[in-house]
Amino acid sequence: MTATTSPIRGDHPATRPPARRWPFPWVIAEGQVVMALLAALGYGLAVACVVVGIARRGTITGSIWEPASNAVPWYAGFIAGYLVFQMVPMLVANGFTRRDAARSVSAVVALLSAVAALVTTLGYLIEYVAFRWQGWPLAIGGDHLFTRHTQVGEILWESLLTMALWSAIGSFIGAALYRWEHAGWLAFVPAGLILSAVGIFITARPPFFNDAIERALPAWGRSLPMATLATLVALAGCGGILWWIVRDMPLRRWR
Amino acid sequence: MTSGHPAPGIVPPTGRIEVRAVSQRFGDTLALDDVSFTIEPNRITGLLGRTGSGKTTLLSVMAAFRRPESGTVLIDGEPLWENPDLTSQIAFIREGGDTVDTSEKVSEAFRYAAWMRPNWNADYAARLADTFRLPTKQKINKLSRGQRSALGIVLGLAARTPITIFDETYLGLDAPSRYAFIDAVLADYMDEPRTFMLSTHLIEEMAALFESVLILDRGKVLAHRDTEDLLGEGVSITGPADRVDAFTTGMRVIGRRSLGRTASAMVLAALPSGQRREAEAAGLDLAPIALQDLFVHLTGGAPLVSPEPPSTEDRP
Repeated sequence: MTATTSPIRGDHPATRPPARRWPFPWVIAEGQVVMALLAALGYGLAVACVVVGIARRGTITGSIWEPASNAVPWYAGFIAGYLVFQMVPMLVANGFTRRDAARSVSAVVALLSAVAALVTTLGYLIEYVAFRWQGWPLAIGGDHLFTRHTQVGEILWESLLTMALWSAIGSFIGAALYRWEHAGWLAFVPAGLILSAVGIFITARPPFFNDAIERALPAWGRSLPMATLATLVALAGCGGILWWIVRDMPLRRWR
Repeated sequence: MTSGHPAPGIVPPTGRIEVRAVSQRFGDTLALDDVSFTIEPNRITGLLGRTGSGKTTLLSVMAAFRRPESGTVLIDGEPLWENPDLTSQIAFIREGGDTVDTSEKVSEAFRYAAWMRPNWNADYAARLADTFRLPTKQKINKLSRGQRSALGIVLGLAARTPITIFDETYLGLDAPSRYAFIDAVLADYMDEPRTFMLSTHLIEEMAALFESVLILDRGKVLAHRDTEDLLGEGVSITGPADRVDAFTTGMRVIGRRSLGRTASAMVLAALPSGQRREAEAAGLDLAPIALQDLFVHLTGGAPLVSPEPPSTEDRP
């Protein structure tokens, strides 16, 4: 049964040269983007129903989208974790190196972060139009790097930073859960620390610590440039953690 | 859709695999113990071993699914680990679903494969899916075990990689599908010869495929030979029980079976032509030893002995 010809090299259709170039993984991204937009549409309709409900039974005192949009980074983080958990091993199992697999999935995660940021910003714009039409107050609660609906650039930029950060954190949590299963939940510890640290610069209110840290930060620290710098440092850290987990991650055997 | 691998000018590997001093430990268990061997390109090699012998770990290391604790794997002399030119040329299919997103449909898995695999052959995949009666519109996590096995086989074969490795992928298949798998591998191999490695417990069924055999036992390579050479080390002698016993006296009998007055002894010896003529003159049939019997013997399994042959006093 031994082959008599030189089989793999040559012009045989099955022997096309292997490749090194990895284009953007649209095959993964397109489905995720569609899913994200559908989820955004559904969520937006749900929020609209809540707004109508409040308007009929009570009084609207300010932005509803501001608290409602807090769900968006959770979605971005969860999807990022899912993608890394599911797609990185799948790509590796199909001949990608871990570096290329992590890079490809990170590209999709970055795209989804941008989509999430656009959805968040669009939500504020729609709310602005609708509330002005109805004559409802447009006060924005919470701590942000913007104060008005019309600060589109600031809203978009803060959303981009927030989504990128949550997605990066979700990514390494997904990788940790794949690699270490239950012990992977420990990744929430560095995740909490990073979110807290960067949260100071973005919202001026760290999510897990008391006001002491907040007071310690000088006023100039709460600005778009500082938030951007802090987020970029955090993203680099998250990328480092992700690569540390993935670089020699064995593929699990599913039963 | 754009393929993920369009770059020109890179010479694909021939499929020569060198495993050098690979060891892997899981806790107290030494799964692979300083394993070294070379698989020559364009051959079908059977990987045999008892449960827990380290087969899956070895194949995982050979496909870069796992980085070994020590040692290295070379493809055409180049280290495999994190080498995209080489990892992209290996298809390793395990039982389960690690090459697919199980929440997707079978057709989606094919679409993904077309992007991920440089040599993906969609027509061939469709033909194979038809052969294995694979419902392409069904979600993968709704498939039966046999259908998931079939999906793995389709993905492995249609990927058309220079190195294709199946690890017990066919366990869930029914008998007709297993035969279809053997036929498919053979036909594909004859059409496009390349390096195949198949691990299996269904030794007799798959034996005809193997050009060489690698036997792993307790994490060590017990034997790595051409199948013909390995089987040539033994002979099966069948005939009347008393003549078989007389003929095999003094030989290394590794197994014996009897049915009524007929016995079959498996002898670990290459019979010279004189002895062969002698056996034929005594009315004994000589045949190659069965690979499975040899495997059981080599791995120290249950003795290949059926109930004691009837004693001469019992004979009429």
